[in-house]
Amino acid sequence: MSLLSLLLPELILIVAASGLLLLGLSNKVASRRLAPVVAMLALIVTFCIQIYRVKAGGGPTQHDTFGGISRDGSIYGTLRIAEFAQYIKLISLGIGILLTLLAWPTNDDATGNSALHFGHDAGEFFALMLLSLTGLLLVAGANDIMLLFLGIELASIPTYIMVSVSRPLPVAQEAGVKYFFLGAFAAAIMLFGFSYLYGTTGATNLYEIMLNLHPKDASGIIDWGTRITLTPWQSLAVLMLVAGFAFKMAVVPLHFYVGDVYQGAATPVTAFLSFVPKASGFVALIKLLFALGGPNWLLPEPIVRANGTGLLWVLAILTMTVGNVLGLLQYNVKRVLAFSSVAHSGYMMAALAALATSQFVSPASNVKTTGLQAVLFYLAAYGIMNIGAFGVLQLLSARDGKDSAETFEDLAGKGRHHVSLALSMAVCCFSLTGIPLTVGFMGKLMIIKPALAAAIAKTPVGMSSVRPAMTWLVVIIMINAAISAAYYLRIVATLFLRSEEHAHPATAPHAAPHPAPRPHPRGHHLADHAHPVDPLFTRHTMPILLAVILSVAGTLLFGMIPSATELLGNGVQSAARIEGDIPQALPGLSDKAVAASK
Amino acid sequence: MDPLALQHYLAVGAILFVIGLIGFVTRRNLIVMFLCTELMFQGVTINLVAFGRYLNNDLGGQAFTIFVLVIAAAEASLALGLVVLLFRQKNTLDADAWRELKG
Repeated sequence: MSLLSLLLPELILIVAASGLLLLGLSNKVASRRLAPVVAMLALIVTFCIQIYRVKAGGGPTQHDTFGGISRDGSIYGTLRIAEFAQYIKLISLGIGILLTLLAWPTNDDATGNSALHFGHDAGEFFALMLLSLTGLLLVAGANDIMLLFLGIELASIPTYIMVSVSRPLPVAQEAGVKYFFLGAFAAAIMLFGFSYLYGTTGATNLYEIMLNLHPKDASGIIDWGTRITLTPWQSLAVLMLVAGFAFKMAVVPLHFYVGDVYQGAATPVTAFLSFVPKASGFVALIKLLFALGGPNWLLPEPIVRANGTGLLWVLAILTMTVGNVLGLLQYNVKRVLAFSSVAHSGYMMAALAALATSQFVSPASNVKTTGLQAVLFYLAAYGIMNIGAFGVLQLLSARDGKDSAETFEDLAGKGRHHVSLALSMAVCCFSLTGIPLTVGFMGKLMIIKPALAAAIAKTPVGMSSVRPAMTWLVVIIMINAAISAAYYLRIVATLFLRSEEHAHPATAPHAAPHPAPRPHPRGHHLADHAHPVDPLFTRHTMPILLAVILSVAGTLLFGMIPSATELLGNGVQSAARIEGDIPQALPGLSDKAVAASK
Repeated sequence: MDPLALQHYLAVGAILFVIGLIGFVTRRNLIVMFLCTELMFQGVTINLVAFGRYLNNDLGGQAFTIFVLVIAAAEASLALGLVVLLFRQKNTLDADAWRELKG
């Protein structure tokens, strides 16, 4: 395949985004109505291309490496579109379609919908959305730290603008500013890590970095069986990179922004934030870990220690626990979902922590493959079920009927008027908790599997046991799943069990710090609004409703129907063969790295 | 023999980065905070160019620097847009003036 056809999905999205920017110049209602259609068409076309490519992908040896810039006559390049990248692209485009549906402008002058109000900038808004998705696709295919950095920034910078313009409220702008400044700060930290990684390994190409880090014998054959030791400078680089990715993933030391940003942004943008930057962070982290560990995932010291603990382990436990505990304490449902998003990053980190211990347990336990599979599966599962939850929030209007529901008071008793919506919310919340028959359960199962396998696996002779660390990890995952059940069930209980009278601001305990000043009509305003015409099935809600239906269907389908789960599982299985066929030796590789590490 | 070694450049880069880092954490003015992130970026570019020079004149470092500058420029335009937007609303650039969002 040529470079052009390799980049075809990205190119289609970029061209569509440019067209949308031109379309945004026009101030007509018709052009605003056209904008989401263009975005949707581009996404559907690229999605179909991805489906075709994933299907045609087949064996693990197909088109693994392609030279954008090929140095020393070797076969690796800036892009590496293997099954891993194809899978990430497929799920990002699929979820991108759902996210576009959530943001569909449906009001009369097409300036937004019940939750979103971007004014006259429909073209620009959808262009930013497509650009951000393009960034994620580039991250998925990147095999060079330059392209990786550019991809992460392309995925992030549009989201800063999307948060700021998503609604004409000071809170949205505050959220946008906070997100932007902290994002730029995190980008600088990540970039510092990249510069030291480049300096200490002598290459910007991730393959070259991997090859330079690993020892090789006199004939140039790389020894993939040795666990490398990082120099202090390399450790610094890795720590700073993980910190930078942690911001995108919302992993603990850099998770503090999520509450404010997710609350301030309009609900469709919040849904966007909880998937696209997070996925780009995880994909980048996986690529970094792969470069450090080589095809056998022999990850070095600060990332995982011989007893199974280490950076990933600590981050996983902190992220799960902090996310869930903070989630319990919130009064605003969007903040609850924001901190639950932190907790879900923690679950994915737990799978990576288990993957990192695969070198210390016997290969028969299969920790290596199941760990990576779990992350990839959970990423898709989280994307699907989370969109359903945000979509329902968007459809359940706030108490004054102007905006989407945000607080628990907004949700109180809504389940009685909108049974189907509340049931959808219940399905999504059950799935996020990890209750069986949902995709969230399958995801949690896959997350726990590698950790459990590592906990009970036999320790090879001469290695210290990872059993205590992994046992604790499993226990803490289970405890956290229980904590998260408390606040997810609180959402469902509020919908069905609480009556609206109780939700009155005067009696509600946490009503005082309300985010936006809203009038609270004391009468039976819902009786005026809801009963004469059921506002659920109007053309104003159709696209959002479609997104909710699709995501609830996906949640149930992938959780219940074995063949569907198997389909996703097979995709994940082939995607997890990230090691594919890497070159065992490089012709004429210079010893720059050796010189650099001195 | 070149009196300047790689370490000197790295030290300058690291000092710039740390000054930016400290400034970002301690200052409350949005423009100064943004300039601090720019300082951090420039510290990184010095690192990159120095590494590129001392790694057999590897061009990767310089190429990366150009991309970093482009990203920094994109963020600068965005930052100034946001700052103007905020100043119009509150007539102040104090970051603490913006605290409507709370948990």
